[in-house]
Amino acid sequence: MEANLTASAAPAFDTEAIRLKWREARGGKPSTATMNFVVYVENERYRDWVFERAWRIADKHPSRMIMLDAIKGHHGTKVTAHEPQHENAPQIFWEGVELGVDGIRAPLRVQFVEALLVKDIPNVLWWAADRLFASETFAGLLKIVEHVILDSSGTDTEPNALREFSSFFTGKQPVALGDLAWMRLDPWRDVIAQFFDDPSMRDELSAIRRIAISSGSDSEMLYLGGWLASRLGWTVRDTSTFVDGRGSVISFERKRAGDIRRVQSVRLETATSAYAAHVEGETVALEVTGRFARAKRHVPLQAIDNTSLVERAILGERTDEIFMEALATVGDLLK
Amino acid sequence: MAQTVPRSASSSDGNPLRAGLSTNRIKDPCNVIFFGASGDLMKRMLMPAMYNLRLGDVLPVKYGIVGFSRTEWDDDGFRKEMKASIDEFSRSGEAKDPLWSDFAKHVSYVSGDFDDPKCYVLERNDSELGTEHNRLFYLSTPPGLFTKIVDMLDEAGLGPRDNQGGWTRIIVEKPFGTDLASARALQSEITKVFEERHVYRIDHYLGKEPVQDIMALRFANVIFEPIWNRRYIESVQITAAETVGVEHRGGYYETSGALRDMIQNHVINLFALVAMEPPVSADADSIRDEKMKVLRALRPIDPDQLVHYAARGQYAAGTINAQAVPGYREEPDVNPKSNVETFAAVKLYVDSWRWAGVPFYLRSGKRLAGKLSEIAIRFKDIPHRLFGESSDDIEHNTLVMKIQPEEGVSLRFSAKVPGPKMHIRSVSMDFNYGTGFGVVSAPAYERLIGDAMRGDATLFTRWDAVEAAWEAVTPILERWLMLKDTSFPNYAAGSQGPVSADALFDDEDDGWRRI
Repeated sequence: MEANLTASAAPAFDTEAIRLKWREARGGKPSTATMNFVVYVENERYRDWVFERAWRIADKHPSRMIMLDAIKGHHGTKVTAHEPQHENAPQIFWEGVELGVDGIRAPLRVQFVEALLVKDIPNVLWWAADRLFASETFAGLLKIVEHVILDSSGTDTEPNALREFSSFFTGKQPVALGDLAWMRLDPWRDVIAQFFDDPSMRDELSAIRRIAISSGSDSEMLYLGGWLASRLGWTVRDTSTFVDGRGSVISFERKRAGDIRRVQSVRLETATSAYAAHVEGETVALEVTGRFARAKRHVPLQAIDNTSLVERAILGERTDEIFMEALATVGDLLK
Repeated sequence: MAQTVPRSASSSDGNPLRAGLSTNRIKDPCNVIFFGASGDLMKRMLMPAMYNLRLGDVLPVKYGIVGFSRTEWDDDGFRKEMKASIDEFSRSGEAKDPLWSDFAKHVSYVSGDFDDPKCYVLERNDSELGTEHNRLFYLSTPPGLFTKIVDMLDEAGLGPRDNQGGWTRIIVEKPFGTDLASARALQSEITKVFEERHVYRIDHYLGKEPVQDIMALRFANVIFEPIWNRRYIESVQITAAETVGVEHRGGYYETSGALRDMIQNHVINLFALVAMEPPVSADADSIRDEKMKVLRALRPIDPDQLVHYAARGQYAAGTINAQAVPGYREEPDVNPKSNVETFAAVKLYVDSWRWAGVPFYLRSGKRLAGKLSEIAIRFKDIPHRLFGESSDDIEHNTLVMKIQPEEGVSLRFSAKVPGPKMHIRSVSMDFNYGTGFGVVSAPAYERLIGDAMRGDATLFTRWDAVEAAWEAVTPILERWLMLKDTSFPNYAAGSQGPVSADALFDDEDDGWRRI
């Protein structure tokens, strides 16, 4: 059940009135929240996509949902209360509010959010905006949340978003960070690691001289390159070259191809062998040619939907050191 | 351009690219050989589990799956049957190419009698699939064949003694024996060929996520362990109730019954997890040592007092979900005068400092009012009634660990009803796995087969625990075999079970939780 109570054009919000409206919408029935889920959008193009996924998560993990819509001309409030649609979920309401915050100053936006939070539960921010950190709203929200989720991939300003992100977060931050673009790469990292699981193949890691990656957007390629470099102790020489500990040069080629946010292929070459993984239908085909040639085999393409990614970001480890190291290397690549 | 600082290339796995990846892949190449490969378990559970392990990329790169049974199939015939089973029963739906074709290349079949030495050959797989002499045998045949198969494995040089190049393990399906004597005899035969460390006695209940969460709840929280004892706990109830009847297993069930089929293994395993002391570490033997200690501390039941400690029942015709269902004696392959119990309830006491005087009520039955597996911890009454008359409504606090159909934990406690009067009512605080973690747990067989391939025996039952469980139930079994229950059938299908089970409770304020 959903209760759409108001759609006013008030320039500011009465948070007490919002609470009362939630109560009204529930018909006096109880509500619950496993987290405060704050979502920020300022681009019409992403709005519905983000909100739809956010609602889905809130339905699965009953949340206090606070959606900040900073799109030009968007004002007013929409207060809703929902009974979970998720199977086996207890029939206790969860509540949401959409706040049109265009024209409202950043400190006030943060104040409204803070006033609506349920105390003593995790506060999660999904920041879905091209402008990442050059935003006072972001800086303000950062002080009241423990998790920040964003997606540096597929934005209008790629790879600037990632550049800004890496420069902002290389320092120690009190919040847990999750970039969906990085998280999407877990299956690809696993596929690449598989080539070298056999201890007899480890020497090949230090013999890599060329990396070629194709993807529909830049973040994935940069992250994969940054990850390989940070794990293998390479340093950045320029935007398309790494240097290993013995001074050998590794070329790093990136090609945009296919759908945004989707990696198409990864190829690593040593002097004697090539390790290739590429999308083939709903699978990834793995092939090794040259000295260490192996028969082609397929593994499932573990494409993780965005809702699940956000969910993982919320529920996952607070600090991902591998990610932070890869991000730092990406920052160096983009300097 | 700035230079990154070279970072450590080490990881726990030796492959620096593995650091931080939560992959669960099995490392050792391995052959898994299923005895009884044309059986129902293989179709519904085992092969779908193997395929899902492959889909999850958990299987090692080099692996072989061999089905062995009497049914006359060739490799392709078996693959076709198994694909149909996966299509029908796998949680991932229809098996599709190219993944299915890749998988099928690793699947082969041996048709023959289990006593035919010609069938016990694995060299081809080792050479063609590179499985390096690592072997996991899975006995999913009728128990009567276990000994024969083990002997034949030894004769064929496939036992651990003759396998110098790799490891050998054996998964044994339940039931492990039909009573204490037969379990000991089976153990004696198996240990002629396999050492205890090679034997994985499977109890699929232990592979269920909420069962594993019992350990987390107890030992990863500070708030429960201090009250997990006789000072605060009044009683514990463990229920494994089903709505289904014996279905097509009437023949087997006639030789088994609820006490053997459920209480002796699944339910007692749950009991051990609830009652054991904290293990010194999370390794398999530390946990199994503690489970064993608590089973050893079980107070023997005096057969002459059995009526106070055990109850049995058999379902009559009734109604479940608005459908009329037959009584047990009308089921196929069941003796119309059968005295086999389809419901069993037991009251156990643990003679230890922690549990002295706390009754553990265990029950399991078929064709009951609902499908429900849970552990309910009932805490003692408050020591003093502060709120006068309204205190009369104060119920015992209850912590319920829900295993199925809902997976989660709930805590029942008292709260004030809003209003001018101090009126107290019980409320419930619920944790639901699906909501809390948003993940679907992998079926138990996937978890357990994967663990056996890795050599992790934590979730398998060690012989000493099997023996202790048989020791606990054998006096009841013997008495029940000796004395027929003339009241059978004594509960209607779809009911809460036989009234005689209520007699197990000493405290009239206590009773079975509603199913």
